[in-house]
Amino acid sequence: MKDKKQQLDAMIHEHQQQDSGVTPPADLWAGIESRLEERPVQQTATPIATKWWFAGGLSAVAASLMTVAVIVGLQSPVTKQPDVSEWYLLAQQMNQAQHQQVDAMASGYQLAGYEMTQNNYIESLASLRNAKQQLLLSMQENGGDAQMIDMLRWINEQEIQLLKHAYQQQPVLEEI
Amino acid sequence: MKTVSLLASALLASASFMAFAQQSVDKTLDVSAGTRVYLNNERGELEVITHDKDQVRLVGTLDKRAEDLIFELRGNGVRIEVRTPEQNGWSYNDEDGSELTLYMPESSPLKVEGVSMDVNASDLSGGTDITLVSGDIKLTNASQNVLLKTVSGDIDASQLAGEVVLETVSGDIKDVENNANRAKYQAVSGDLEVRSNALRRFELQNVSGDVRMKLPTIDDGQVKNVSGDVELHLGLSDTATLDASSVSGDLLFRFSDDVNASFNLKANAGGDIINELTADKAEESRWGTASSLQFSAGSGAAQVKVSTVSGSIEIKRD
Repeated sequence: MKDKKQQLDAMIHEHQQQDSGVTPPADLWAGIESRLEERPVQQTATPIATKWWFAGGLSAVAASLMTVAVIVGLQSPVTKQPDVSEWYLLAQQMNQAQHQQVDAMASGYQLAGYEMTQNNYIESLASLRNAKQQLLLSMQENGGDAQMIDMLRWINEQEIQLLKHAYQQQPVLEEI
Repeated sequence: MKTVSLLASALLASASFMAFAQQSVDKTLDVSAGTRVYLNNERGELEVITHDKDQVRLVGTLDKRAEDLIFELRGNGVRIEVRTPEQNGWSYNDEDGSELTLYMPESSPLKVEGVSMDVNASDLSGGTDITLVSGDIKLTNASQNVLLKTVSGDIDASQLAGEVVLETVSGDIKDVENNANRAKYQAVSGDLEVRSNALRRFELQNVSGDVRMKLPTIDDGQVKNVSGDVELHLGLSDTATLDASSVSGDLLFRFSDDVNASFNLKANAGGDIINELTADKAEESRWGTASSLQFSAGSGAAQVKVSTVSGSIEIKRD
């Protein structure tokens, strides 16, 4: 009987030793615990209430802007000008390039001593420039199309040709 | 004594130069068929006459300022050049210019260049190219490629055939009895009149002048117009394309035959569209500054596209 009791005590003792598990060589728990304790401290730096105020304010401003935009859009559909078209933007670019080219040509001829003397050239150039302005204005108002761009290109070509005629005095002779 | 002899030498030299400057010319070269003829003369008058001989002959008087005359066969061409001192400015007196008559084979291509010269030519079948700065061109009965260009002068043409290009700046163009298949007209500051029973394809470019063209049934027409009024009488084939653009000018189309075409008409900046072919009316744009009209007449086979800025479009039956 005593043997059984001793056997039982030995088994309990053995079980208690096994249940204690493997003990790590170094105790890391203290470091882990301290890191876990730091997080709540950081969270308290930005109060949740402030964030909600900020988000709410932004939403209110955005909603106000949208409301104003919708009201303005609804109240003035007739007076609003149509958007500037791609054709008009292209025409403007062509016009700027043409302007620079014409200025450079005229300066070059004048520096070389040529003068534009004949009135009919001046009048025709004025007609072309006036036509160009009307074309651009119409494209600004109505959008324009490929045909009007082609017309503008042609007017620009005519302007260059007429400038050449107006300043140049003799034809270039060709070899036969 | 020495001074007197020097003066005498100078006077003799001067007299000999004057004699050369006013000299007559009569030169002839034998050529083969198709030999090209190139003539350059600064001022005066030139008449071109064709003959049956294989010869090029130049007759007349040279410019008073002429220093030299080149008249030679070079490669497959005859080169004729009246050389004068280079002069800037426009102080020319045409009465002192050359008075020349050129005889040449009818089949030879002709190229003429001049500054202040009038040219009168006829019966050329090898191609004609005349380019002047200031002067009138008169050409009758010419075929193949015909290019007439004068900056400040009139063009008076008749019975042209082949492919024709007529250009003037500050001058009028008249082209009647045109037998060409294709033609291009360009006029600035001048009026244009064209009458043809043969033209199938044409291109018109006009600035600051009025245009009147009477054409047969065409296959292709291209019109660009600024500050001028254009009146076209024409018919349209079933495959025809007619494109016209105008700024500050009126376009009037009078169709001679039954029209089978689809029309796309657009007027900007207050322009008007007047349609008397059908009952269709133009619609104004939302902003009220433009109007447009699309409709078909007959089978709608041909395509007509017309656009104007600050001008009217009018279409009607002739």
